Amino acid sequence: MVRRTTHSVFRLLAIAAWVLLSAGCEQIGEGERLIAVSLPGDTTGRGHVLVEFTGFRCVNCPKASQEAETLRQTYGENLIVVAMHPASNPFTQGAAKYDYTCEEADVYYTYMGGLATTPFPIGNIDFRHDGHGYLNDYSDWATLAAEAMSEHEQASLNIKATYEADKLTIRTSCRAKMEQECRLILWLVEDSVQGAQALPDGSVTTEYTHRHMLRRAIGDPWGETVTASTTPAEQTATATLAIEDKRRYRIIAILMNADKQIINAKQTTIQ
Amino acid sequence: MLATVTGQSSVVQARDTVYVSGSIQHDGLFPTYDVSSVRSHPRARWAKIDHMSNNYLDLSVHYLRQDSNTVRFRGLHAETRFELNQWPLLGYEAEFAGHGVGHLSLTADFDWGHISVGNVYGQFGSGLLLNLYENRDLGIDNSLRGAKFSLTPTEGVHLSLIGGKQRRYWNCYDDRAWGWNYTHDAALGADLEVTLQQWSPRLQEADIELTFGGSYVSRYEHQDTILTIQDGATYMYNLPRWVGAGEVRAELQGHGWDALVEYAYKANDPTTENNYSYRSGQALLLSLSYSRKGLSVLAQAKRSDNMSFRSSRKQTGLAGRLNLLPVFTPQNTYSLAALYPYATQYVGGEWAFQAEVCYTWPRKTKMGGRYGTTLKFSAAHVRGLQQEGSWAINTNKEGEYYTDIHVDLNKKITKVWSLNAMLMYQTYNMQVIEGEGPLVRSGIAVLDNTWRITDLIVLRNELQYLYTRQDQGQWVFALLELNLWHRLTLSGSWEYNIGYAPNEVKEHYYSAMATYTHKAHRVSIGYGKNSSGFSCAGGVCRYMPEQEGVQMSYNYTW
Repeated sequence: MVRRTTHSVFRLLAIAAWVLLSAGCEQIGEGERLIAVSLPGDTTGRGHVLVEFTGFRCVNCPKASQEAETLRQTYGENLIVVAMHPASNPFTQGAAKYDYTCEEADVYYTYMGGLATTPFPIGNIDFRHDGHGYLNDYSDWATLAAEAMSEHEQASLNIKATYEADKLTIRTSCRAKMEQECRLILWLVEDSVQGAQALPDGSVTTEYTHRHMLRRAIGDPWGETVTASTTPAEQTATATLAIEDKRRYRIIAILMNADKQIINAKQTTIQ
Repeated sequence: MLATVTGQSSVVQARDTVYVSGSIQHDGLFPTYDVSSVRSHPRARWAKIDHMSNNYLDLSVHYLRQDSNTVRFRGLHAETRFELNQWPLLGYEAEFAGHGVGHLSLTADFDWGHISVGNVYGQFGSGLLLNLYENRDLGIDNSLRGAKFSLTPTEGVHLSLIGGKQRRYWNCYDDRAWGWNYTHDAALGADLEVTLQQWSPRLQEADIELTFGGSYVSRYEHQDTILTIQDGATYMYNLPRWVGAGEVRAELQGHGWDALVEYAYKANDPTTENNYSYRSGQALLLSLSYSRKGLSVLAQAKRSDNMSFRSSRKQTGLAGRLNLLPVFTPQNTYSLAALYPYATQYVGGEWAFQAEVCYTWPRKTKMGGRYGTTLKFSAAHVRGLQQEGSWAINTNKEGEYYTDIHVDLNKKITKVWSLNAMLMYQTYNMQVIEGEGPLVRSGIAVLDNTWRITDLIVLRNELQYLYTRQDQGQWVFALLELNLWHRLTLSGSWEYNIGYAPNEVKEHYYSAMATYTHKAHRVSIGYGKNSSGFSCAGGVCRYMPEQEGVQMSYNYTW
């Protein structure tokens, strides 16, 4: 009797295993792998920030940079890309001539859990935590960008920057339908920096064009406190610095909420 | 700090036994410098002092039927583990931090097998498709929260069925379902192994064991929305919810010989790690070994490609791995020999070769001397694939991933003095293994002396030297260890980067440690400054940043 029961158990388990495992593989044909989708697009006018942590010794970073550029072209002014070179990751180290690091890049990198061994390229959109962490592989950026675009604007932001006689002046104004306390962060970004970069085939070029490179924050890396309300809150920030060719630089203004998530961002050239 | 506790209490009721067992483990560090730049976890401060620790409490209750000849049910084991890693040691992944019940299981033993419910571990074959294990040093617990059936319906036949949701750090608390929610992801597997010797008198006469095995593992994950922009248009990946993988193996054993061939295939499995490639994955493993008294020979080859098999598409890092490809490089224990350890290339693939010969000359022979001599020669070589999916070996310079050739001599010179000497040549492709850096070629020499002064006093020292012109250049290491009464161990070590290379640091690293063992208690305390490096096990590595401070550990098992 016991033996018969045992055999029945084995038989049942074998059948269960067969049913479960035979259903357990889904083969996707070559022509079925991509499904065309139309993006709703951002109609709110809100700006989002894609931070790209990169380094000149990282061979796959040009691929990520290309992905960022593709997203920037897709979303236009709604997506601002900023490349950060944190000194604490060895991908940015090894040649003083090609030092693209800045202190602020390390502040944000460390905040997002970046370590010396974090593999590059890696990035983040709007300083958002996706449940696993802050740092996302570049193959996930398109998805994260689409998710971010669906969020409504909580506060509007305007920015204007002028540079005259070594003095940079940035005027911002923000307003919100509901009063909220925010952090206003200002970044100085340089475009078209010719320099060294390891390429995916393992070679190194010294004629690579680095884009939207974070050079410094104007003021504190975590910005100043502003209260956004129905009445526009206007701020003026100044900094004394030497800029050779102001056409190569941009100013990015960022509004962050109390959870250190970006709720709006705008960029402007320097007049 | 490290802590463990040992003891056993039992209640005998007629023919049955109930007893409780468990252990406590505590590893801690009070850093004496600012660790904020290398810390990926919240900080804990006791009396304004930074502190970090990993703590485990294991508890098990066992019920054993004594008279198993007449009873098919043999026993019951309930196990649980509480983990307090809220402020863990440096170098663990950010998601490792947390506390709670990390393990729960109930296992029933029968004379025809075992049934387990809760967190279950297991390995199919060599682990090409499934290897679920716990490694606290790496911060890995890959168990499935589900069930496992291990059945032996008849002698020579073994069937395993396993299924559940994989533990990825603290994901069992994500949906308040204690890991029992399988709607997001789950894994299922079956393994059948048949040993033919039972049915073949010819094999029995020849004393040869022939085993065939096969397994199938399938991973389920709900359809994620993963977008890609190609040629200006936006697409969503049509991702397979079920990813299947199969494996077959054959092993022949007898007269000291052991030959194994194993092949695994994984169907399309687009993940973050392989940049959403739909390519299939494959692994082939060949192994031949021979051993008799005083001699052992081993030769192995492995080819793998796109064989990272995880329970979640988006998971990267150390967690969420279903399989563990066998590592074909030696796991060196000497500090400088382990300075450049190899990490298996799961996605890009590799060809790995390993050969080892170990011979012991008996005592009172010309080579063996008075106490015998053991000589070991070992060589491991890993290269990349010629191109994605190719079976050809990449013979170019950049295709060399790792080489380790070493000769190891172990000899007892006198009644009190024995030594181990090692010479090693190593190459390490830093670009491939770490993501950036040169091809490091190094030579390493190690001398390890042990003096058994009395039965109760043992003195040991190590001298190591590493030469390379790449990366951080030359290193030297020395260790002195005194063991008293088999209980107290006092040790001191010093390591220095001599440099003469592009990334030289010319830093001194040192440690002084005292360890006391009493019955099942083991406590150690010391102060040290350790260089940064990798801690590896089975080809899986965890980066450990440089650290300095008071280190403590305590272990107790009961």
